[in-house]
Parts: sequence; structure tokens; C-alpha cells
Amino acid sequence: MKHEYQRELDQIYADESMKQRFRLAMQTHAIETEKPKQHKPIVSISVCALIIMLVFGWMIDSLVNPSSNNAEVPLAKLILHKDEFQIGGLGSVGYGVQTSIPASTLFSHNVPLSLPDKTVYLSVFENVNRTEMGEVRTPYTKAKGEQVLREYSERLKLQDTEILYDNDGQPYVNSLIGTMWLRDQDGVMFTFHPSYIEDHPIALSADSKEEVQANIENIQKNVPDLIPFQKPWIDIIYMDMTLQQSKQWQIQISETSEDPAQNFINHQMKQMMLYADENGNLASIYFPTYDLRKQVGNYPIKTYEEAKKDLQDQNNIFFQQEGNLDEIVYAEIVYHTAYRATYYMPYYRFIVKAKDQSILMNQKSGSVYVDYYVPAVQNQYFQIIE
Amino acid sequence: MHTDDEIERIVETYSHTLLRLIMHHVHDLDAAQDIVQDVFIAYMKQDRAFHDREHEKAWLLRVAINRCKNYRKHWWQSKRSTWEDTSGEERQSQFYVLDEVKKLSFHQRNAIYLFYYEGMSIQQIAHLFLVKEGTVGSWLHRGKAKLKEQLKGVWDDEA
Repeated sequence: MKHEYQRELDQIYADESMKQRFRLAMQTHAIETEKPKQHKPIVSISVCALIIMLVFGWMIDSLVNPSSNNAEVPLAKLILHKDEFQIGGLGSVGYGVQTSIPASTLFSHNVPLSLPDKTVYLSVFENVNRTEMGEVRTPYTKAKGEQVLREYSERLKLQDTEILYDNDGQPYVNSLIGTMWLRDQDGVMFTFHPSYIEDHPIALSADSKEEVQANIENIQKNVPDLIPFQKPWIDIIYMDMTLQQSKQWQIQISETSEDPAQNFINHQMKQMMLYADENGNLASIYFPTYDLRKQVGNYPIKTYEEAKKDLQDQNNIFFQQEGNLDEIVYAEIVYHTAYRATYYMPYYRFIVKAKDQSILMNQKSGSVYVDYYVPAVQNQYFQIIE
Repeated sequence: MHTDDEIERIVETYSHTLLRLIMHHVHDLDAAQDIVQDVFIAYMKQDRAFHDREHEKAWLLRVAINRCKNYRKHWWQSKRSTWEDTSGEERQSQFYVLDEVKKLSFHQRNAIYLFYYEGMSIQQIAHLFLVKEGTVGSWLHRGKAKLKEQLKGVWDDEA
């Protein structure tokens, strides 16, 4: 049937008249852009109006919320762009179908930050590697890349390693048991060679969270060098919400910190992730790397009730599919780490029942859930612009 | 400034790919053509330096996908009934599997097309959508599961 799909798509093609239409449109555009441009007054007026609104809005905000100017450490107002938000950057729990497990159990995982009932502070970082469209903009120069790879080789205690270069001149580490390479934007991935896995299988994936947890504990015991943390914080997230299918887990491990805010940052942005192959054996290890050198500030965070009110009032919310905002089944705080994000900043993630349940199709029971995001930073400290 | 040679290369290289991708989201060839043209105009307007052909292709695919999103919004508001009334037996008979793929979610459709037809890797698709690879894996997994159900179990990677 896959071949039938491919055969059907082969029948869709741009014929010569269609291509000619495209060429003409592009050539016409090229000619038009050569003509000198005239300023459109409406654009200038709009820009002036926008500036006035922003300045006036800031003045009003300063009057209404004097604390925003009088905080001990002045906090810059965070300017968020409506279109920078990509829900995919906020983790993997999307919508899903569940048939027997209660939703709260289904979505819950080992998050090191409980939902606050009073104001707490969390760091916001500038995403110095931000890209508009998600293009590759690696933070690693060739020399820095080699250094990072060496550091991780040592971390994994790899033997017989060699730095090689791919066709684009990017360095990678080759060792007898696998290959480590720089991920384009955000880290380093090491993949075991299949023959090594065959000879030295390390069980990882399993049917239940408890079994996965036990497998990780075995890894800690039997291959202690693999997990480079003194006090590992282990989080196992159920990825595939369709219970009839094979189970997939997102397994992430980070360093436990006594400081709850630091513990949360480690969990969100300084973790290692383990991936299993189709047989459930450890196949690769990924170290995401976020550049956290430019801290914008420590911002006060909304309480859960404040964030929930914003959600239900539909005030500064982000979502992809509509849900019933009165049916919150799970909530947590997550850092937004998409490539397009201006800031690595915390958001409340609310999982609610979807309005459209049609995906269930012929299933007799179950529910579809969608996720909504509310900036966790208090409202007076950010502004969303189009 | 884009030369005629460059325009020729872009049209020859990407017309089919974009048309096929967009046909996963619209319901007639005319609309798909309009969107392809729109994507090419967007290409003319940009002046970025692409790292390589892969980067260029990813950019065009991303613009096409965004245009499809906008089209869907606009289309649902203005022409919803048109499609529902005239959707088609004719189309269904011509594109049996594609019609079933079109019933998947927006992301699942894109992932299925890019993976199974364009031969892109999960990593490449993840970069395209700015999501983690696990998310793409999940789109593919769920998409395939739904297709199996819709096609009564005959979707098979190896078939």
C-alpha cells in the first residue's frame, strides 16, 4: 500500500504549462522589484501608531504596576513574537487517546517543580542561537566543536576515538563502538554501532514505567560511567498515548540540585536522553546543549491559579487545537526551548480535553487531549507582539 | 537579484515536490498551483543565503506548509460547505490511498509524505518543523496506525 501511495503521488506533477505559469510569475516579480519603490504612507502611519501605542502602553503599565519599575533588580520587559511560538519545542506530550489509564496518571511524570501556590522566581535566558525559520545556526565553530566532542568522549569514557570530518567539514568522533556527532543546533548525539548492541545489549525500554525505571537502575549499577551525574534525577515520560500501539518512552536524566530552581533548569535544559532501538536496547544517547550564558533575569512566576485564570480567560494563551478549557486533566511548568524562541522562558502547560474527539474514530472509549501554553512569567513582565 | 537560470532551476527542481506536498492539504489542483506560485514568489522576495540545497529545500517546504495552514484557515471560513458538498467520489477513485492520508492530522500528513515519498529522515523532518525527533516519530507512528485502521491493515512499510 505504501507503493500504491507513491504511485498515486507520481501521478501528481507539474506539467509544462504549470511550470511556465510559475516562471512567468517569478520573472514578473523580479521585474517589479527592480522598479524604484515608493513609500506607502499607510505603512509609516501604522509604524508611528504602533510606536505610540507601545510607549503609551508602557506608561500606563508603569502607572498601574509601579512594582515593575521598582523591583530590586530592574527586570526588562520580555518581548515575545506571536509567531515564534512552536509548541514542539516545549516537550513531547501532545494530544492522545487513552482507554484505561486515568488522564492524570497518563500524563504525570517526575517533574522537579511543583505547581506554585505563591510567587516563585525562575530564570529567563536569551536564546542567543535563535533563528527565524529554524535554519541551522550551530553555536559550534570547528575548534569548539572538536572540543565539545572530546569532552563528551571523555564523559562517556570512549576508547580508540578519532575525530573525523564529514563532507561539510563538521567534526565527528568515531570510536569502535559507535559514532558521536554534533547535532546541528543543540547538542551531541552518540549512537552505538548495531553490532556492538548485538554483542553488548543494554536493556532499556519495556512495557511499563516501573520496568523502564528498573532497567535504568541496572544501567547505573552495571555501567556506571554511562550516566555522568552524581545524583541522577530520572524522568520517564510516556510518549505514545495510543495504548494499543507499542510503547514509547522519553527517558531523560539530569543532575539533582538542592536548589529547586536549579534542579528544574537541569531537568529542562541540562539533561541527557536515552533512546532504545526496536528491540528495547539502548541505542543512542543525546546531550541537548542550550547556551544559558545570557541570563535576562530572575522573573516572578504566576501561581497555578493565576495561570489557570489566564487560560480560562484566554489571556495570552498559545495552542494549536481547541480544547475544553474547563477540563484540565494535567498541568506543569516547562521551558520553551524551540530554535525560534527569543527566550528560554517558563510556560505553564495545560493538558485539556480536545473539542474535536473525531480522531477516536471507531474506538469505544477514550479521550483526545490537547495542550495549551500560558507564559509563566507574570503578565506585566512580557508583551506579545504580532 | 534572481536570474532566469535560477528561476528555471527552482521551478524544475521543486514544482513537483511542492505540488505533491500541498495536495495533501487542499482539495483541487488549482488551489495547489496557487500555493506553489505563492511559495515561489516568497522565494523571490527573500534574500537569504542558503547553506546548501538541503537548506533551500527545507525552507521552501516550510513556507509551503505555512501557506497550507493559512489556506486551511481561510478555506474553512469561506468555503467549507463547497468541499463538503462536492468532495469527491471522482477524486477518491483516482487517489484512494492519498484520500486516506488526507484524513490524518496536519502534521501526520506532512510526516507521512516527507518520510515515505520524499525519503527524508526523521531528523531532517524534525529540523523542518522545529520539533524534537521523538515528536516526528510519534506523528509517523500514529499516522501509520490510523492508516492501517483506515486501510484495514494493509499499510506496510515493507509492502
